Amino acid sequence: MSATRRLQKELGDLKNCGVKAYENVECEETNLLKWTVLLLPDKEPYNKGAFKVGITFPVDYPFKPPKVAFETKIYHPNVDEEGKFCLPIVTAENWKPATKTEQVMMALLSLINEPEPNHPIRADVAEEFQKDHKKFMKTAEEHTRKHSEKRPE
Amino acid sequence: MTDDDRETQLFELEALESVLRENKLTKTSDWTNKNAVIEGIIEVGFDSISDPKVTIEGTSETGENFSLSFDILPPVRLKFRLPADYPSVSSPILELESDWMNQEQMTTCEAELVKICEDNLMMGVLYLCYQAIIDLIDQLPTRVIKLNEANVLNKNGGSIDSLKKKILGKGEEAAEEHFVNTLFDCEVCYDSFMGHNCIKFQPCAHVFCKSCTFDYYRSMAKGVVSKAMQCLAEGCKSEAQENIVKEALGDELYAKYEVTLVEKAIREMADSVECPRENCQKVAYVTDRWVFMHLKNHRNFCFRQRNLAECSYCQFSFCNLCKQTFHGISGCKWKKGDKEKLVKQWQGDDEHIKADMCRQFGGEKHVEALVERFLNEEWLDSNSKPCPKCSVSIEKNEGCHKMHCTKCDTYFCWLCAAALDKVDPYKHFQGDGTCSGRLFEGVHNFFEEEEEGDDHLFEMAFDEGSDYESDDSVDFEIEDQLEEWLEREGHFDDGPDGMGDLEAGD
Repeated sequence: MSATRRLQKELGDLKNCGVKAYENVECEETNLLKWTVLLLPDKEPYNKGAFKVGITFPVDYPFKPPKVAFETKIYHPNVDEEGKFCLPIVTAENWKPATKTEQVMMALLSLINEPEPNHPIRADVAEEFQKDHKKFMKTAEEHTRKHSEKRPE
Repeated sequence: MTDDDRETQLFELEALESVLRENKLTKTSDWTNKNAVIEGIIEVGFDSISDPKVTIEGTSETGENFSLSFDILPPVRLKFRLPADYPSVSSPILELESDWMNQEQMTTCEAELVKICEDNLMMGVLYLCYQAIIDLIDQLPTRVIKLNEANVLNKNGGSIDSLKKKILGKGEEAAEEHFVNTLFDCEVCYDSFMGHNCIKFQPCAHVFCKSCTFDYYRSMAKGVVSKAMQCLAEGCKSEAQENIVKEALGDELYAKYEVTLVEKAIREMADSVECPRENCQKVAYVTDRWVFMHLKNHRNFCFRQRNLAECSYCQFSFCNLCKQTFHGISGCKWKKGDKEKLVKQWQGDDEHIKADMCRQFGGEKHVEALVERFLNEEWLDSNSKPCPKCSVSIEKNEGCHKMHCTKCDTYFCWLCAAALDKVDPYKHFQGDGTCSGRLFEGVHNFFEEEEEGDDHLFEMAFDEGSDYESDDSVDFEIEDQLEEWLEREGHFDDGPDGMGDLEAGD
C-alpha cells in the first residue's frame, strides 16, 4: 500500500509537532487508515473542552481526500448534530495530494475558533450566534461542559 | 621542465575533474601526448549561489528595452594553459570568458586570479581560481546585469540581440541542468528524488516526484475528469504541461482525457448535446427552429421548436427528447406505458410475443438493448437527478445536499434541483428559502457505512444521455389540438405550463 509510508510519517509529525491545538493523535492498532485526534480549540466558548475528531483515509490516499468528522458533540453553526461539516480543503474537487493532515486540522480548528455564521450548516445556531450572541455563548458553553471530552492536563 | 611537473599537473586535473560535475572540464589539447602543452576549459556555474535570481537588462538594436529573469546565471568559462614548468616555477596562463560580465567585473575577477596565482606559487591553483570566481560573483552587490555593458560586446563587437539569445539559452540550460542534478523531497510520498525523476510545475515552481504525479493523474483520469490536471500542491492552480499528462496517462487514457476536456469546453459554449448513436457519441447541436403552420381557421401560427439536434460528426438528425431519428412535431414514439409494457413482455414467458418483438425491432440484440435502456431510465428516474445545467444523471450516495456536477462543474441543490452560486454554494442552505438549514437533512452517518473511500459523489454518466420522459415533450396531435387549445385559451400571449416556448403569430 503506497499510503503507508506517508501516513506513518504524517502520524509521527502530527504527534510530535508541538502544536497545542490538538493532542492524543492516535490510529487504530490494526488500521493505519483510521485516526482520532483530540482537538483543543483556544477560543470561547469551546476552550473549556476537547473534541474528538475521526479521520478516515481512503486506500488510495493521498490521491483521494480523507474523511473528517467530529465524534464528540459540538454546538457550532458549522457542524451538524452528527458531527459533519463542510471543509473545502477536503472536498473531492479541491483536494490536492500534497495537502497534509496537519493543514486539514488547522483548517478545521480555525473553523471552530472562528465560526462562519454566513455559511452555516445549522441555521438555528447561526441565527442565535448572530442575533443573540450572549445566549449562544451560554448554550455553547453549557453544551461544551456537558458533552465534550476532558482537556488533557 | 620535469616529468614531475607533468605528473603533478595531471594529478591536479584528475582531482579537479572529480570535484566538478560531468562535462565541466573540457580538454582542448591532447593530454596524453607528453609533448603537447596541457590546455582546457573549466565551466564555472553558479547554481550553488545562495539567492541566484538574476535580472539581465538591456536595450536591443531596435531600441526596445528588455529584461530577462534567470534562476541561475549563465556559466562563465575559465580557459587555462599549463606551462611545462607549472607549478614548480610558472603560474598557469588563464583567460576568462563570459557573455554577460562587464568590464569592471572582468577586471576584478582577473585581478583576483592573478593574486591567487602569486599567493600560491608552486602549488596547484586551478580549483582555487574556480572557487574564487564563484565567490566573487556571489558577492556582486547587485543582481541586475546590464547587458549593453557586457565586456564581450566591447571586445568582439557583435550584436546585442544574438548575445541576448545566447544568454537566454545558456541560462535555461544552466537552470535545467541544476534542476536535474538537485535532490528534491517529494511532499506527497516523502521520498527524495533527483530532479530528473521529478516534475517542476510552472509558474509556481512546485516540485513533486514523477511517480506521485503520474499516479495522481492516472487516478484522476480513471474517475470523472472535470478539469485540466494541476500541480499537486495545496491550493495551487498551475496546470500541468500537456506532454507530462500525456506521459502519465499513456496514449489511450490521454485520448479519453483530451476528448473529455474538449467536449466539456464545447458543452459550456453552445446548446450542445451528445449524439445518441452508440458508435458516435460526438457533440451534436440543438438548433432553434421556428415552425410555421397554416391553421384551419386561416390564421397563421408559428412556434419555436428546440428538439431538433444534429450531430456535427455523423450528421444524424435526432429528436433531443427521445433521442430517436427526428420526427418533426409529432410526439415522441415512446410513452411511459409503452416502455413498461415492452419490458414486462420481454421479461415474461410468452415466446410468441418475444418473437414478435424481435421481428419488430430488428433482432434480439436490439430488443435487449432497448429493454436495458428502459430499465436504466427507470432506475435513474427513481435514484438519480439530472444536473440542472448539463442534464447528466447524478446519483448521490453520501454527503451533504450541495451537489457538484463533475461533468460541467455546476453546483446544485439535491433537494430542489436549483443551480447554486459557484463562489458560495452553501448560501442556498441559509436564510429563509425552502432549503434553509437542510444541508445534511436525512443524511446518515457515513463513517459506519463505508469502508473504502469512494468519490465524494458517484456519478452515472449515462450512455444515452436521456433523462427526459417523453410525456414532457411538446406532444400533440398537431392542428386539431392546437386549434382546440387556442380557442379554449382565447388568447395567444403565453402558453400553458410545459409549452412555454409556444408563441403565437398573427
